[in-house]
Amino acid sequence: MTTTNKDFVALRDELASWPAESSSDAHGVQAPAEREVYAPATHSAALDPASTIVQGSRGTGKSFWAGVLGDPSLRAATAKAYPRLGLDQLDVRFGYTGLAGPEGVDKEKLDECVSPRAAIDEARVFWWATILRAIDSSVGRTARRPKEFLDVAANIEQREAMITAHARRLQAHGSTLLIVYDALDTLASSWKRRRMLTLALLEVVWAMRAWRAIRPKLFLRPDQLEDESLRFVELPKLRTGAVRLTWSGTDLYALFFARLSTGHAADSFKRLLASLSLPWVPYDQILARQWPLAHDEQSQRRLMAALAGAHMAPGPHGHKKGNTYDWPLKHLGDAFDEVTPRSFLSLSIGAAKYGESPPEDRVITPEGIRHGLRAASKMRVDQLHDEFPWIKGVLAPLAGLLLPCDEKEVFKVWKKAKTVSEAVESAKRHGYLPPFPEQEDADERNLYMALKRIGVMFRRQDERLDMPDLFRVAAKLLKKGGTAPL
Amino acid sequence: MTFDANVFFDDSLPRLVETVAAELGDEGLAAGVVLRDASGRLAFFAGYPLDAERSQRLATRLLGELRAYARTDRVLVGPSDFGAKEILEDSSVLQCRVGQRTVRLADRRLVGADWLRKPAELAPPPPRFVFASLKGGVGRSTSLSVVAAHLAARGGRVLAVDLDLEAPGLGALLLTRDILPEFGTIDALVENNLHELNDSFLSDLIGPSSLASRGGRIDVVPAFGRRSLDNPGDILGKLARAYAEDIRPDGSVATILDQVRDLIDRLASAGGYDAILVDARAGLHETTASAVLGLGADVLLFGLHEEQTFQGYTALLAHLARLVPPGSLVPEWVERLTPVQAKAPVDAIARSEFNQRWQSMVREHGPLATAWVAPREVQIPEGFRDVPWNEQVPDEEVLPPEWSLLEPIAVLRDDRFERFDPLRRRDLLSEEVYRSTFGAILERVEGAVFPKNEVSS
Repeated sequence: MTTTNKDFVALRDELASWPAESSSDAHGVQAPAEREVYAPATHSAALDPASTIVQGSRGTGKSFWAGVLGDPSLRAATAKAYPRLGLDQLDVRFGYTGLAGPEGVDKEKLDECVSPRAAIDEARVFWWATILRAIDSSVGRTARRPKEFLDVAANIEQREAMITAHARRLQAHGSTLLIVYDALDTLASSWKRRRMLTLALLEVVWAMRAWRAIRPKLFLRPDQLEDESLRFVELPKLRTGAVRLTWSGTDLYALFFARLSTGHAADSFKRLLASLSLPWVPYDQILARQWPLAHDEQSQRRLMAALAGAHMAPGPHGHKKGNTYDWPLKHLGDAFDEVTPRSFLSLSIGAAKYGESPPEDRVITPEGIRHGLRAASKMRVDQLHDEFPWIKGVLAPLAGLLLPCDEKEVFKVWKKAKTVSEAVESAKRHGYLPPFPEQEDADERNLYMALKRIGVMFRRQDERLDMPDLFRVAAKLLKKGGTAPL
Repeated sequence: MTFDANVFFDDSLPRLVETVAAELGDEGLAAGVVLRDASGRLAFFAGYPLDAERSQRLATRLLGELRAYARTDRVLVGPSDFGAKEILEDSSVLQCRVGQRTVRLADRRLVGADWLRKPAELAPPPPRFVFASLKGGVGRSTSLSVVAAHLAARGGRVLAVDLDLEAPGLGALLLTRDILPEFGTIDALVENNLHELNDSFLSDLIGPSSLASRGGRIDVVPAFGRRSLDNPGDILGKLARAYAEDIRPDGSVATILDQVRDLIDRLASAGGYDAILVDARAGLHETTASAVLGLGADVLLFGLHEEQTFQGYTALLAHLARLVPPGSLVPEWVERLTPVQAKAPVDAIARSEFNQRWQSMVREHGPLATAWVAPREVQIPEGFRDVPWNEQVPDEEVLPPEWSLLEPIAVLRDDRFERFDPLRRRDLLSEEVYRSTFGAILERVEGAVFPKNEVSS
């Protein structure tokens, strides 16, 4: 079997046809689908029912895994990838998903239970109610609103009796109830209320350690967990025990190749693998990582060299521009040096779409890969924009700066562009969380701190401020309406 | 006007520039050329005729400002004066940044003139690598030996040349006394003053190293050959003559750069090599210029993470920046400069301190500086929350610049290689041992020497 030009074209078309934008929800229209599941070995700890808090930045797969856990057939498939976790012994219910519908608990249902000026006691009762609701649905009743459980939740004795009774039932069957909380950044549209609700949830989660058969699991953004104003004596323990969802370079390539292997150009992909003496395996084995391309970097490098050429430039000096395997990983990282699967796939899709006449013996080119960084960069900022609607207005003025530079230079640019006041006003007008938790914190330094928390900027060891390439590119791509002298 | 008692070298050019700019404006400054003579004195060659009164005034002011650094015979020269045309049209004129202004400078040096030469274009294959550093003891020769041994182990044919005549190292590292060739580079540079080097002399420069095994070959041109070691009393005498300019048969002058280039070219074309590795002299000496600028090679700039490294390379890079005409694209030779952090820590975060410092230095002083222009304005986004994407911007304005000069590679600190004696202790030359320490540099050299679009596994 030899690969032909047709195979390269087929693979390129396949890659270009992948949806450029997609994000997951725990349930509903955007719930994860079979064949989309790819299970890196390192995510085992995150999916372990015993790990209570899983933290991950936007796009690392929090909602995806929440959805997989919540769906019995996907959970069963995933159990094959992580045989030691006992995922098939689980009953999974949602505690919060940010989504409406009978299964979901969202801000609306929460606001029904927790009054606008509520103190933390009221919030705690609400979270207990979500646990009681999960138990209720676990015993087979149709899902009810959390509101209906508030009375029992507020009564310590009744509440504990109900939880204990269910825990015994579960233990008798050797089963565990997992209650999944996702999309926790949508709890409230003010910093104060969100902090209060987050803290109450963490307290309830801490109290739940008394029942081994009923385990809460929180998928949380790191900035929400690390918020310094959260005060709770057990918080350090929860933070330390939190598992971080991350993707190594090998994981990202494995995901990419798994998609190619199960897509419409699977036959072409098979022939390409054969030409490199790499095995092709069916989806089940991919899921169980019984495939060299799941973990063997050298095999991955050889395959990538066949797809894109080895180096980022042609000719005898091309090697100095780096190789096609490392380049995407190097430029897609955020300030925590984390690359998300969505960024990685966006770059690949962008690369496949680039250039008028595709190369004869390659699927993508170095120029395409470079160009793909634009697509990935926009995708990432658009994603962040969903949660931090101020991000574009804050990034855009930095486009002309020579980063890294002294913080004074950065602050001066924002001052000239009146970015801080624009951010405050825009947040007020559109009802979203401003970058500053407290009104009196609205200054350039705290704007930087907000970007730092979400991995968009960082301070180098020489004290100067810098920004990863991923976001520099985006800043330059944002349209400017004009300029002001510096 | 202030007449300070002392004017020193560093003051002289800024004083001239400010004085001319004050009298003739930036345009007048840009039209002319500054001549700095061998002793350092300055004169300004105006680009267009000045009227007598203005000319007189400017000349007086220059004399007052420059003091000892004024060329007293002619501090100001008009475009039609004797010799002016030659200076104004001199192609070796450099652009210098002086404060906020730039000025064209004709620099006449007695020594160090090779540093003013236009950097050589990329040499034809085989690829050449120059191992350069500002100080000894940074593992330059060790790295070169490991690279040579590695290439040879992969079946490559390597020529290793020692240009460090003051502190030779390669011969002792790579050759045993019994296979030391008759002559060394020091002899080649002395003999070529008096006669053409013939092929038999060239072959007497080369000794085969027993470090090569399994099919490859390492030919070594040491700094000192057997004759030098047999007559050690003559070495300093030869050294004194090695750097002399050479008068070619046609009467033209060959500087040390020309002589070294000629020697390497001839050795390169003779042997059917896959790679040429050159150990350059440490420091900013004239011979370093020949290796760094003159060979059309890839240059590895070794340095430790310490203050001296940055002081020295700042001087080198700032000088190289003057060889890049302003407003022009970054020339090809800049792409052939790669910094190497020597004896680097294993910890990547600790290494990044060096990288950050290096990048700042390059940006501020180096030959890429023309690619950076300090921002003068702030870009105001269109809207705030929903800023649209601008698809019209071309890739090159958006994507990160990629220069090897900005990306130091590392040779790790490794005590095992501290007193490296590869001929006696071959255990260090097993690939898994040296790969972890020299991996980055091996990858760089392999990429050029065995170019193929495949990744070896």
